[in-house]
Amino acid sequence: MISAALRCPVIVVADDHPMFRSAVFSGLRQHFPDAILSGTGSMEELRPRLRGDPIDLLLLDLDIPGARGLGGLLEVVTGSPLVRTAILSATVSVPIVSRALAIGARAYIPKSLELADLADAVHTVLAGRIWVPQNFRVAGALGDEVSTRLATLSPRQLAILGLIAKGLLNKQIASAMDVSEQTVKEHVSVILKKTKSATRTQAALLASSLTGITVPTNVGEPSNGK
Amino acid sequence: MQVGSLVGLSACYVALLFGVAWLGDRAAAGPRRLLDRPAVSGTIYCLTLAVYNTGWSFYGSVGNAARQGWGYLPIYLAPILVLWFGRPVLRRLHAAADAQGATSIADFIAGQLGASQFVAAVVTIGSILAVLPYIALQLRAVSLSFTALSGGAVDTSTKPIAPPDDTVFWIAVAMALFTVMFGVRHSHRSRRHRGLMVAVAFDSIVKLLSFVVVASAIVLHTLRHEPSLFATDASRALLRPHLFRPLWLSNTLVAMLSFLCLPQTFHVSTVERSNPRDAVWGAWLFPVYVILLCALMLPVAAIGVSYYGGAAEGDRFMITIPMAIGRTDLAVLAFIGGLSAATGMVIVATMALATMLCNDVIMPVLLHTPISARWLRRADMSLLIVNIRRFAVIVILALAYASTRITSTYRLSETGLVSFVGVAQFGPALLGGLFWRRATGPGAIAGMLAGLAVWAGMLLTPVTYRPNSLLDPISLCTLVSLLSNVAMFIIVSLAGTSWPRVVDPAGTGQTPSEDELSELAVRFVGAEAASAAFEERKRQSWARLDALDFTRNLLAGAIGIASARVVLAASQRSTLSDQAAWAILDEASEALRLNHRLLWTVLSTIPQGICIFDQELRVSAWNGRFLELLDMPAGVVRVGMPLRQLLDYNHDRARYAKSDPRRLLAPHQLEERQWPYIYERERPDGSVLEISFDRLPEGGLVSTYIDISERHRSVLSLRSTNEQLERRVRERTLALEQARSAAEAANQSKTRFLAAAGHDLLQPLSAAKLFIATLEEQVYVSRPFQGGPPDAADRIAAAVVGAAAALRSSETMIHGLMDISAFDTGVVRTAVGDFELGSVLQPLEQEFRALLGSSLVGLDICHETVTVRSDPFLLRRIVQNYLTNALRHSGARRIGLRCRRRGGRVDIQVWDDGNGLDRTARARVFEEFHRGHGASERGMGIGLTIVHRIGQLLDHPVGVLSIPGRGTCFFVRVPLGRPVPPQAAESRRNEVARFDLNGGEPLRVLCIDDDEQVLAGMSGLLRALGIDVLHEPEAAPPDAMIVDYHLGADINGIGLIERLRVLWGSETPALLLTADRSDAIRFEANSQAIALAHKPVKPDQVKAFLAAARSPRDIVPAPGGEP
Repeated sequence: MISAALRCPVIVVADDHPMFRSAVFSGLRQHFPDAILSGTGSMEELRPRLRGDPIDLLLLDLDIPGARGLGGLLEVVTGSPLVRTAILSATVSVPIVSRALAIGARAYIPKSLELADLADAVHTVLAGRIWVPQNFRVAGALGDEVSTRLATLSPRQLAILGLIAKGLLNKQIASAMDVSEQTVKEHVSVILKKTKSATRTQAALLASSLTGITVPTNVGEPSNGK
Repeated sequence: MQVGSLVGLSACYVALLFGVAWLGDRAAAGPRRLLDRPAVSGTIYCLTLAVYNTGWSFYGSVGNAARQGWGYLPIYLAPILVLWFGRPVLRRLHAAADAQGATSIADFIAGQLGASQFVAAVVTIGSILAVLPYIALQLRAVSLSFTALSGGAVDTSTKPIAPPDDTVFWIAVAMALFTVMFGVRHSHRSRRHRGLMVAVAFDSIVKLLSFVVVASAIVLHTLRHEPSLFATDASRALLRPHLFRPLWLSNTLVAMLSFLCLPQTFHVSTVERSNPRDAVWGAWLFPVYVILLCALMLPVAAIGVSYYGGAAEGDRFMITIPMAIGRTDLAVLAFIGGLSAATGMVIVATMALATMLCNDVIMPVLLHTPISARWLRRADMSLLIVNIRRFAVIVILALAYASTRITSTYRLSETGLVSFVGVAQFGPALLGGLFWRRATGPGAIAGMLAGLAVWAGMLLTPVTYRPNSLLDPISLCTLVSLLSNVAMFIIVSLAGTSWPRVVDPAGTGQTPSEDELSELAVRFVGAEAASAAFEERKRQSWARLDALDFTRNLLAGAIGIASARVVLAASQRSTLSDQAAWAILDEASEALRLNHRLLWTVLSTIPQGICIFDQELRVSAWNGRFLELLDMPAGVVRVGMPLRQLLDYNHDRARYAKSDPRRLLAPHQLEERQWPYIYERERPDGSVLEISFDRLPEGGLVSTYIDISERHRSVLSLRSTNEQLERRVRERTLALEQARSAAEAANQSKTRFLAAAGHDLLQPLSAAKLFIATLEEQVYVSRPFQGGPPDAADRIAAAVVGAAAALRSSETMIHGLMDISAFDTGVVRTAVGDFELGSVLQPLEQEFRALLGSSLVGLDICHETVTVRSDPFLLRRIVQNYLTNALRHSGARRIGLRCRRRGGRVDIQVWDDGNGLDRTARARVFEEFHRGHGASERGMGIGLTIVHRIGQLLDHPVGVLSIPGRGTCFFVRVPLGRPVPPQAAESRRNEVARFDLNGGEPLRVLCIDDDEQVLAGMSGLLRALGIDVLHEPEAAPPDAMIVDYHLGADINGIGLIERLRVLWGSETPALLLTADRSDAIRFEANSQAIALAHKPVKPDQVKAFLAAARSPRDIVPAPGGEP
């Protein structure tokens, strides 16, 4: 599977900027001539695509319409855990990189990256490893307490945490995820333990910090609805 | 006994008396509660009555007892009889004296008999004649005991010694001094001599104690050692009760009259009496005193008579017996007692006599003599009176001293009796004046003169004493003189009305109106005292006294009753017949009045309101301004109005807060309060008064009222101005604050706009860059370098490269701008922690080496293993920007990175050997968009600006040193951190491990497994090895981690390990546990540098893994996220 992915990987670029998408395509084609490239402009377009043919690599823009903060990433990671997702963003800051990696991004690629580095990142992720920009490869740069705790959550637990953050009850979560309420309860207790949260509310606050994270703390302000 | 020591002792005693008198005055001047207590006051009164018991009692009575046996007693029975059975008489006497304001017995008798100055003069001169021997007796008694004690000549009738060597002389001088100091200080009678009276009381205690002690010691000694002394014939004769003798009767009579008429006893019992209840105390206490005193006289006399074989030395038994039995100390004590007995009498008697002499002889003479009257006009009346009295004191004591020479042939008790008989001559006049309505002045004069004449004729010539005859000369004289006295008194009184009472309140003639009387009083005692007195009279409605008597008393206090009557009489006559006296009085009072007027004018014109309160806190004076300031209606403030009433009045008018008077008047606070007591009071009309209460030296309070409205207003206006200013400053500050925040908001929005614009700008730029990069690579790939002249394709390639460079440059710029705007808007958060500096610098070095690659620039990196406290990400930016700047702009051929420890900090320096910077460039190098000269076109120098911002944000000083042409050194100063536990930063798969768990700190191992049981087992194993087991990841990486592969349906151990390693930025050694033995997992784990152990796991495997994780970790730099 790995070799197949390396040979002719299926790569989806989810970015609302058509010009940038085609620039990425042209760059990737240069390095991955056999890659099957496609693009989507919003989460709405992306969702059916995720349910279709397998995807080896998803390059996901954080500011894609329909996603708030890391919400898009969270949705993809929890909904399609097998899709390797790399964040492609003009926004680069420590907390967001840290959280993104914690909840399952395989790479965090700044848009200003050189083509060679982009190619390197794609290679790395396709090879099954995690890639971060050079300047984040510093001990202590990313590992904060919240992130490390989030990192131990499984995608399913993350999904439940997301639903908790939306204010859903266990029963509603169970029906939304199509599992028994008992299962949800067990997961919730694990989540509370892993996130060191005393209550559901604390956990929900933690989760909502993921979706609200981009606005106050990143460098520069994202403009929605590009 | 040495003369010197006796003199010293006497001096000490007199000094002690001075001290007691001074203390007494102090106590009287201060809060007078102590002296005013009934018990204290009564006791003192009783003790002062004991002035009756003089040196005569101390020495003479013993001698008397030695001669007459029980015959000494009448003298002592008499006062007891008077106090017990003469109570009605005494009451009447006291009431009359009080009403009359009598200052002496002469004053009193004259007052009772129509205020005849002649009566007063006769009594005065008679008293002096009669009492002088008595005073002389005291001096002699002291001298007698002195010589006895000092072992001098026993014969007292030896020729006189020269005065300066004579003890008596010096005693007289000391007593004169004492009397002048404490006895004669005020002209007015109401000033009682409290200090003097306390001293006299003290005297009485001393004499009683010393007598009782000495006498009882003598008796005890005799009983113990020589009881036979009581059994001798002589003592038997003494101790056997006598039958009644006429002498007793006459002595008792004389003593009773003397007790009433002696100037000193009259003074202490009547003039100094401050409280009517004192008489009751005296009636009961004084007999006790007398009985205590005279109980042992007879036994001592008996002992003495037996011992010495006769009564010849009886007057000195109190001294000689103790000396004979070898008790010199007792003798000295007796001496002190005698001295005290003498001093008390002498002082009081002298003072009383001096007052009499002044008021009843000298002043009338002066007032009636035109020459002296003229002189009096210019004199200070009250000072003059005091001086006259002082002079009189000295004269009397001098006379007394002189008469010691004359009377030295008498025995003590005889001399005393002689005096008593003389004084007794005033008795008929005194009692007659009190009880007999028809008594007249001439009658009294006639009686007294007759009695005194008989007395002088019979007794003032030396007589021989015949104790056993039926009628001794003294008794005879008593009988004859008193009889002739009474007879003449009655006859003359009945015979003539030649001197009617000069002022008879109920009599005919026009009585002056009250206004006239008060005017009269004003002339003499001053306006204030007069009006105060009249006000008080109104208030107290003094019972029987009409205005005339009242005025007379007022004047009598100052000039004596007789003179006062003259003045009043003059005022009463329609034609001022006694023009001279009137003029004199007028003139005399003029100076006083002038002073008062001056004072009054001053008081009236000063802007302060003044109100004065006496010792009982009653209003005694005020000025007009006081009424004005307090807005008091006329007539509200009265003399004698209590302060509390005044305050209550003001309070009722809402002039005071209720607490003020309470606080002021709380009695304990009057003593403890901080004086002056000042407070401010706002009146209803808005003006403000500053009210100050202060104590007067003689008791009482003075209050001043100052209108401080103006001051208050200015304070208020100052305060309001201040508040206004403050408000203005606040408003201004607020406005500025608003302006500033508006500006900041504008700036922020601009910055945000810039950021958003940059962000949007970056999208197409990034796209363009990717396109160009693609094109660039295609150009090179499709057309490798072939040499030869450049063709069209070469030119295209060059253009593509140029476009790519331009794009990168603009992109760098936009990133820089966005970074700066991020710093400016404050959205950059720092995450400061302790970390190993190498973990930041090593990856940078690798990166830069890669960047330099083919370039000719050399790079020197010098590390130091050191822990710093900073934000690793931002610190990396700083160093990276320094390096980039050096590489791009310095034109250097070598670039270096050094770390230098300096104290608690580390300087990270980036140097180059490039062009260097001059002074201005150095100053501006951290500014925005500044670029050094000669720099290449790439970049806009924004990197250093970012360095500057980060330096500020992290509080790391940044700076530059440079020598133009030689090179530049940029530095950042980072504080040292606490060393962090060394991290197991590397994995060494192929290394042979030493297993040593006991060296150093315990390992921290993260252990993750879904299966609780497995987790518990593993944890137990690890803990047994002395390892800290973690079940959840923390911000800092552990030394190693042991993770189960199957963590759930959708995540596996490898993913988790990978993710944590990325987050920690650390290749933490990891052991993956799995039951799956597939190659896929093995391969995957291997590729991620994860150790693998198949389940069931053997402890040895875990130990081997941990040993590897623990092995030396200071060798290999981290390969940086990628294998």
